Amino acid sequence: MIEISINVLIRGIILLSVFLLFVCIYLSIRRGIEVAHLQKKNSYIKNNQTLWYRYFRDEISFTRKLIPKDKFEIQGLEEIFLVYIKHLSNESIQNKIKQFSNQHLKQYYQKKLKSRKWSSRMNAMYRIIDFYIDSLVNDCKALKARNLSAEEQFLLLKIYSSFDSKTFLKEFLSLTVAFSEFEYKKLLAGVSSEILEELLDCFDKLPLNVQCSIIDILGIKRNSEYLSFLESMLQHENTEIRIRSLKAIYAIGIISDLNQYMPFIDSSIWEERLMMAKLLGVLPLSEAGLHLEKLLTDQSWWVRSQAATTIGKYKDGEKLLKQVILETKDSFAADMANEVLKKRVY
Amino acid sequence: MKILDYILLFFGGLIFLYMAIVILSYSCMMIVSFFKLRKKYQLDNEAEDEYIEAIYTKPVSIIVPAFNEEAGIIDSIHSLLSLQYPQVEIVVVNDGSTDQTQQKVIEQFQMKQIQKVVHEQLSTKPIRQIFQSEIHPNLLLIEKENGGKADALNAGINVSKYPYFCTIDGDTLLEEKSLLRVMKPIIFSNEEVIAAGGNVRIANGMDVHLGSVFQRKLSSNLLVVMQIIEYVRAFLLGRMALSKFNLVLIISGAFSVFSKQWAVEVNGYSTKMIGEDMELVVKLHRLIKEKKLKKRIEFVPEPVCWTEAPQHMSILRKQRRRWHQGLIESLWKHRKMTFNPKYGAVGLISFPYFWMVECFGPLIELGGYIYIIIAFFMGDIYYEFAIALCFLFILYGSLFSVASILLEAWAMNTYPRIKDVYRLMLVSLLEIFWYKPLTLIWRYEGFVAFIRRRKDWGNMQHGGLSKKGWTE
Amino acid sequence: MNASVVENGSLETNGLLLDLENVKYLFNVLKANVIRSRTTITAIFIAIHDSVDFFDEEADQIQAEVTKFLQSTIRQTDLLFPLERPGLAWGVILSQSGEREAKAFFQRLHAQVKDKSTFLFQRFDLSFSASIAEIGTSDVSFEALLESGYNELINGLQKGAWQIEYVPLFKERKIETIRVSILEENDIFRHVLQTSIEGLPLEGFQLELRTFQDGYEFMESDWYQSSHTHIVIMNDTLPRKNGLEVLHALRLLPNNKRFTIFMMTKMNSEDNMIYAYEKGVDEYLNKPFNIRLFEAKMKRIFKRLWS
Repeated sequence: MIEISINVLIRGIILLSVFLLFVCIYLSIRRGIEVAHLQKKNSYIKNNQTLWYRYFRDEISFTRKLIPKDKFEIQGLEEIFLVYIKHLSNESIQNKIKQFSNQHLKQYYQKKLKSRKWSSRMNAMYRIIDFYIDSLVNDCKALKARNLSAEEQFLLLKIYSSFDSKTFLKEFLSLTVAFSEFEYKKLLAGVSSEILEELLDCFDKLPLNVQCSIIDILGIKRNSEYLSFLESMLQHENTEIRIRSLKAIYAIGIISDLNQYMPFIDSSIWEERLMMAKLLGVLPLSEAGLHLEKLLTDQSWWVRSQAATTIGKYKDGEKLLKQVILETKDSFAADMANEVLKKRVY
Repeated sequence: MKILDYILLFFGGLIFLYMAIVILSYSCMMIVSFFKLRKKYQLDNEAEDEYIEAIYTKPVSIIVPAFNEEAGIIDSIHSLLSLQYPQVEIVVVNDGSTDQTQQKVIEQFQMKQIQKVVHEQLSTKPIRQIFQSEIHPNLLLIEKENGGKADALNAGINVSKYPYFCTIDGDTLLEEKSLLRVMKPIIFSNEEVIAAGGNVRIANGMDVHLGSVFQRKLSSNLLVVMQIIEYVRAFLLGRMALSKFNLVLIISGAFSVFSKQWAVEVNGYSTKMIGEDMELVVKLHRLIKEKKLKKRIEFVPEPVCWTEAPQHMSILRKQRRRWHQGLIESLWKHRKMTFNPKYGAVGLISFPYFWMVECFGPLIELGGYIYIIIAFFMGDIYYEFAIALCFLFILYGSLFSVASILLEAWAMNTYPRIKDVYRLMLVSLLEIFWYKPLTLIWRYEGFVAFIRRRKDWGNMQHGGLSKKGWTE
Repeated sequence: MNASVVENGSLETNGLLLDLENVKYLFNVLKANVIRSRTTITAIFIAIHDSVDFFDEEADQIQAEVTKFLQSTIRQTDLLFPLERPGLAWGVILSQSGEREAKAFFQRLHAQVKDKSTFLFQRFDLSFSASIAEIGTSDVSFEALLESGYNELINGLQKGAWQIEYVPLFKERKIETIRVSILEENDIFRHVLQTSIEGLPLEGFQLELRTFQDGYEFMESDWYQSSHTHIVIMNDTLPRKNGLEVLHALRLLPNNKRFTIFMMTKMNSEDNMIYAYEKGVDEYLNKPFNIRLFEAKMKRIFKRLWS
């Protein structure tokens, strides 16, 4: 029996070794090829970056010399385009990229969309978004026929949000995949205000984390038009929604009516008290001072810390802090006040 | 005589069986890794830049425990400062160093003493002073009484202000996008992921300067090359395949992120243990299952971190002994999770795997070596037995290593020069003849140390990674 | 320069008689400051026009009175001195002023003479003419200035009363070299910034531009240690030595006012930006930013260098 095993083992080892040898040779060859490809790409960049610069800055008009001739030159061009998109915001440049990509790169990405490799399709969609290739929206829609991964569905939605609002809404509201809040925020950040309005209209029907994402986005946009909506959310039964709404209102920076917010100062949920410690900073010290002092003696360390920081931001905050240190019996509050005072010195 | 025969045959069979199982599972894991890597192979990772804005990311405190790290601490902090991450705080904890660590940091970054109210969520040895840098207001230094690495980390947690923290050794370097990558699972998960870890690679021999890697070269030190091979194999066979089923038990202590709330809930790092980082993960797994939380721990397969591998045998020996001892300690402390259905996949699959493969496995392998030697001299069937085992070992050892190197070279291209890849391959063929047995012996020593309950954080001499300190 | 008029009509300050040697010394100090602080000084030479009637005996009195009067109208930072020729003539070095300011000065004098605002002007019907020399370079000797000022003054006097002649010789500013440093990791974008800046129109300047890939390379070079005006365009995150450290190091240098620092960032973090402003950043560029606006800002900086 052992003899058989040894033979088997020896054969197995030889087989595997031969296999690995082939892999090794394959890798070496491929590495060499890759190096050559990389060189092609880099030389396109080197030779053409000034030309592209001048075209983007309206110093020269369009010339066919700019059109890349093969796959690797396209990769070089992608790098150039991406740099311009990520670093500069000029609309004229973005328009030129859009125009060029729609005209001369459309076929390349069309092919990539149809590829069987997941990474090719993903890359193609990334570029479609980056370079505003709206002429490929329908090709993207056609992708739905396959079984798409979650990442692909996300990118599709992103494409719709830029190029086809109606489809975006339709798809968004009928989503079967659950995304993370982060992904929702990325989707909604660039969305038009009309779409946003429509989402607010059917707010109650949306799942919880979509609701939270929308509220966060309203805060990010800092548009005071949404203030009344956010204030209405303060009465919501879900804690998380209330907390997010407070946060968004803080970002907008307006308190219309302090009475609405009073219950939060005494809330049993520390996050709500924390948000109030931040939010009160929006009001003048004469109105907020008393409440902030109260929060300075709160039982939660975070609330106390935030209350002290907020007081410290006022012009007369220093005075109030010193007063607190003298008068209060709460040593924790005094400690906090001290820390903020010391910080202010620098 | 017959009894001896039976005993030998029994052990022989046991070893054979064990090897067969291991080879089989390694092969499976290799195939799984291959497919995973293939899928992500050409993906353009530029998308990471998109969530670099402050509004999308969650703020992180980086805790750097330091004990006599004067050689590498400055470089380490520099690499942290050049991280592309909007809201980050760096808390360096000087755990009673006896060298110039603190003075160097204070001088280099112009630190001034500040008053800070510390939120003492975890109990630690007393903190003496807290400093803040004048150049970088988000860089803090804590001076405290010596209490060990875990104690230092806990102090860092107390002082940190952000809801997430990550830990990093004083002589580890991160890349610019490291923090972004390791936070990815957390950001993408609606706070269901409460801990994440990143893979580590070896920096020795690379051109490293002030936190940036310039050129990827292979070290000329044989010991370092062996460790590189080990790391690659462990990564591909262990972490890549297992992460899919979230059976992560050990997160590389060199770089991992935790949610502060939950870490505090399990009382932070345990100070009486050696493998405190692994043990924290186990505690979190336990908490998740005991409280029936909908949380999980994820592992980012991308390598995100560089570390200095020991270059001398004696230091490497201490390190391996410590690791193994820490592993067994953590497993032992939570041993009731083993085969316990209450703890789900972690208890039923992960724990047994680690007991068998990581803990006892080395003992069996060591036994295998000894067995071969004995059997060789005993003659007859034992002689052939020895040969068979030999081939098995070669299969298991060398070939898998070579395969790992090739897979890594294909998918991740850490060492762009093909010459380096050849060298890695050649060296890995010889691994089982000298390096493997050595590491096995050291792990055995760790096992013994566990039995004897020796613990210490260790006084490991480091050469520092900056160009000046490195003679490669 | 608080001088007082001594009996014989000459000026004295701190016990030093303001004769031409001393004036020359003071003039050289002022002219050296022209390049340093980038503000011009202007010399105006004023002489009494011939048409005025007075007796020779009254000449000395007029000299003293006009001197006193002029002394009272100039600022503390201006320098007044009597001219040796053509007689009954004065020179004023106006600091931090250009031709326009000198002309305005002369016009104020004209107005006061017309209004007969002082006893002097009530008694004598005086009229003056002037020559104005704006000085934008330190490449001018006092003698040359006096010479050309005198020549144009004579021209003016010949043309009539209340005439102003201009001396253009010293107006031209020397071509100054400004250094620009770009610290940007991305090769392509570095090239974009470089091309953009090199394409900016420059009047009276020339640029020396260097690019760097990281903070350490920049700090290790001695490129930034010269006394040139220096515009630094950098990212907040840079390999090796990041933007904040470079900022800190630059602002610690003596004469750090010569640095104008633009900080580019992708991170858009309000706290980071506020802190950086406090530490000495002059302008923040949030990526993606508008390059035409950036160029406009740069052009404005060039212009503002000479106030």
